[in-house]
Amino acid sequence: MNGPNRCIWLALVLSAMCCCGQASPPDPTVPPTDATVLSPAHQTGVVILVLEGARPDWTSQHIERGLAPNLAAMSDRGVSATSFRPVDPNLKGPFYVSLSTGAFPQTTGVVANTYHLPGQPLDRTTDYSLTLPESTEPIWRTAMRNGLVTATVLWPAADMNMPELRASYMIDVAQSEIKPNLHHIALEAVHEPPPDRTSYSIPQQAVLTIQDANGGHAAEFRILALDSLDDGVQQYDSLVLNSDAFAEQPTFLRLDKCAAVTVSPRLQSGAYLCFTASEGVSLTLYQSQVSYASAYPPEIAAGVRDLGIPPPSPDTDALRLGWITPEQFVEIAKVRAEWAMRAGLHIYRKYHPDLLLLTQSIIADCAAASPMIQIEKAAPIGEETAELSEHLALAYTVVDTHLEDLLSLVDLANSAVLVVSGETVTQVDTTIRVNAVLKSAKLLQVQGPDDQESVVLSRTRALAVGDGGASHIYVNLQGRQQAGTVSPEDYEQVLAQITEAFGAVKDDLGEGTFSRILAADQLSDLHLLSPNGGDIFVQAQPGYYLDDGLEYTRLTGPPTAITAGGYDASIPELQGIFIAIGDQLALRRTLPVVRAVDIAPTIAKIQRFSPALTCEGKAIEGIWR
Amino acid sequence: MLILPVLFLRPRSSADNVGLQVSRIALLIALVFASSAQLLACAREPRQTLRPAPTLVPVPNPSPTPRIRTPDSTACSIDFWHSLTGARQACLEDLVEAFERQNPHGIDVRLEYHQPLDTEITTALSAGTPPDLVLASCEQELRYAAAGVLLPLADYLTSSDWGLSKVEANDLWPFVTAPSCTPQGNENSTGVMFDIDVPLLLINRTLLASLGQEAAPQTWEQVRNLCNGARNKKAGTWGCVMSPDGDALANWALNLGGQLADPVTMEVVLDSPEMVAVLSLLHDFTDDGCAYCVDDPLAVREDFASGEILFAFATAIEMRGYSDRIAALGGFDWEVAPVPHLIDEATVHLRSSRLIIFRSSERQQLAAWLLVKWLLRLDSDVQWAQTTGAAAMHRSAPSTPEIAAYLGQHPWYNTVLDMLSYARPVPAVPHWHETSSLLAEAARAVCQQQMDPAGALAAADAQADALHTP
Repeated sequence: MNGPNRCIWLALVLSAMCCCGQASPPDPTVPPTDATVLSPAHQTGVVILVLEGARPDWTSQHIERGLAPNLAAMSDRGVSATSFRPVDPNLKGPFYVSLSTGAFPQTTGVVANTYHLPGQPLDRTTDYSLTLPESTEPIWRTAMRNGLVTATVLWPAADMNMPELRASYMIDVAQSEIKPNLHHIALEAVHEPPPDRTSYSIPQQAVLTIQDANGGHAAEFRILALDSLDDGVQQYDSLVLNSDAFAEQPTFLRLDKCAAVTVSPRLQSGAYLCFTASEGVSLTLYQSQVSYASAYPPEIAAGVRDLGIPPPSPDTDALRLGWITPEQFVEIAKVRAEWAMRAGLHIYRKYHPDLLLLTQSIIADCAAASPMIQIEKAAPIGEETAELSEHLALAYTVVDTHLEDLLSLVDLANSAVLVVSGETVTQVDTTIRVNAVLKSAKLLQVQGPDDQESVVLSRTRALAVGDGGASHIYVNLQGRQQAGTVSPEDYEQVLAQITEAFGAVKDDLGEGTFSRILAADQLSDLHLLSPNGGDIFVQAQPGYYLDDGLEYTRLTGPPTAITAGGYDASIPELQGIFIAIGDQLALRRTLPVVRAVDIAPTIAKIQRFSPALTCEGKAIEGIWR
Repeated sequence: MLILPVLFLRPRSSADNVGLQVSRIALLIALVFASSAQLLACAREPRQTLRPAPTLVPVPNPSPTPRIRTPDSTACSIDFWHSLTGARQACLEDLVEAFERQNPHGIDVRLEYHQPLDTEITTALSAGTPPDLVLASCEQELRYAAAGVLLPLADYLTSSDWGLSKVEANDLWPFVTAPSCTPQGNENSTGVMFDIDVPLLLINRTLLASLGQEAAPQTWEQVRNLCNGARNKKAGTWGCVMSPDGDALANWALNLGGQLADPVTMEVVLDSPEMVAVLSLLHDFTDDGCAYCVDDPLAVREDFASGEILFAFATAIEMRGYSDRIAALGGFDWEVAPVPHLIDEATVHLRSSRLIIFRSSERQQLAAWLLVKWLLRLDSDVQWAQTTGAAAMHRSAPSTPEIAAYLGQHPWYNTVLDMLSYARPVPAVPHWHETSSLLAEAARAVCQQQMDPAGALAAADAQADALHTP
């Protein structure tokens, strides 16, 4: 279906929804309580779709270009917001957890993607996904307490291994320990060419072994290399891959393209292979992380198998190292987005959840795919490169198609669909090595050979943990850290040293590179004051990437990432989008500001149950019909 | 804490000292309890919530063990999952290929490496497509058996058609087929041992001789005295290098007569007096300045191979690597000995992988069992032992020409074989993998003088309790 046709279809659906909705509008003035819970049969359904990385400026541009007709139609006919405020720092972990719980990072404790936990050695950090909060209830758990059926698909703040974070139905992508790899493969001539394959040069063969870093062989594939072009040049541009020893369907792979191969049939795990180069009798294959689908409860797992091998997140390291091209990176991102939406539609069709939480990461992925090498200086916010524009156009087109698929399934006469975004990013051009800053201020000492440096705790007074545009700096305080070196009397002085050291990091023009350098007692305004947070919190100006590696001595360097988030969440371009339609929701209304923490209580209000006590957001005013 | 090594002072074979030892042990335990009670109050409360292991949904009514039937004439294939790497993976591949070639039933095997094995098994189980056979850990067998998804092996072991002959069964050490990893009260084993590892004390005999000592130490006190004697700052020699390792520490505690879990509740006990005694040993050795700790086990090997360390702790499976590295760095005279133990009767606690079969069709189960039986053959055992350094499963293994030749090249393996006559499996402990990490973490804190033994263990025990809370 082309763009205009899709718009017509959506208009019809929305018109129907409007009429039905007007028949019996719920009274939004009645405060929801547990006692007002409707039976599931009469429950208003909610689908929330997160478009990771969808900045408001990008979204407006693509709507104007006609590349997102369904988003446009939703925005025109439903409720949208001029400003959707994520939490600070606007990173994946804090965003999803706060969106899910309606609580700020100061309450959830998820103050970054990676942070230091109290009571652990200073040099130990943890990923947010390993310490998801149990004390702040996510909206799907509150809904389940109220008798509703919920589902999450690839939702970062849900965890099927933790009962208190489970939804009724869950689909996720798990990873084997087999990491991405670049295989340089020497070919050997096939002495007895297979009669059913055409090749204009003597067919070649090789074996591809997929293994982990410890040398564990996970799978082997026999490769038959063919030259499919009758151009007089010996170049093998077509591969036929067969799993060793078992007669399975072969995988066909063309030069510059990617395809999935099965690593374990019973687990249905697999990897994506990209055929990246062919020179004479050698070829190069990029192999992605090996991944597989996981599902909860176990009885839905068999159905999830029908969705095929889930693609891993596209590999930014491989892109940075030149293992894959931006086009191949985008191709994997696209396949992953399609898999995620297929999974969402599958669970919606089959289990009819009252609340479904979905994500699409292709916009953020595509933003990360713009070739850094061609960017001498990061484009100012709002002035992206041609490469980025091209990738974003593809991403918005894909997302909008998926939105159409979703809207065609959801009964809008009895449901609401909320599209929001967070974790927005901008391109970076410079890395600031935050621990080099501390080293230069004699606050941090490391030892060990290159790339294996470790912190000398007994001589360290502070350590920075950071990702993207934000970093927490932890003081090695006596009585709090296991091997604390800073006495309580010296604490303020160390804070001052840190503040001075970061304030002294200037750009070429002598301007400061940090937009915020805040002591812990100043973090209340950002709702970021937490035991998990640093004694000092810094946020860089957009365009700077904060790297917490220990190995550096120079304070700045070339970028080690293409894009980054986590900057000041009040910057308009780095906020998110909010668009919603539903039988209870207003028509053609634009709200000034909606906050990420307001989403959970708004869902609660739509579905007529009380939000969790730990919820700090408020149901959105002015959204109701 | 300087008391402990004195308390362990006793001749290994002197029965006259038993009474004295018992009273010393009682005193030791009382002292350690008092010490740990004091320090418990100072222990930090763990704040991090450790991620639990993947869930496994129990099978409500597992089907009874089916009658074993002859596999039909059509070929069948089985999936065999493991997490071995390197030479062990290559050897397993060789054994499996030989089985495929030689089994008369046309059984094909898809041998797959999986990491993380447990998570991937659980996922496949959820989807109803588990592997047929897995080389798993004891704790995994315990968990899967409790969920009722494993095949009890008693009928297969004793089947007149498909089981082990009496000669074969008698030749296997009893611990190989014993139900050591099944839930309490279940005497029908759901797995058999494979890839058996033995904890060892490595001794630099050249350095030992320079201290006027010939025999390997048998008590911790002797170890400590020699450790201190070997430390020479000028010569750069050390008494001992250690890498805090949960399995090794657990073994030491078992050798002191301790338990890793309450035998009734199966609740893990990390702060037992024996475990505090073990960490006190670590503390005392490092406090004396004759020993040091490193994080990486390979660093232990590298340092010991340099010839400047008197003692190191490792396992039989690591010995090939040690042997090669020592030779590569110039070589010296070295040997292995049992890790000191407290009770008079010598004992060694074995760790091993477990071959377990998931319930499926009778045909698949039998095919998987036939591969297990193949791996339990003397020939397979000898090949595995030669390649990996693992302890042989058969009593008759030393009399085979292959092992005799192996012993000629690797005299340390004699000690390993000798130890099997008084060996027993390490008791099954739920969540041992995570618990072992907590134990290692506690030991690391003690080694680095960041925490005292009782405090570190109290903190680890509290975190272990959280792991074991449903």
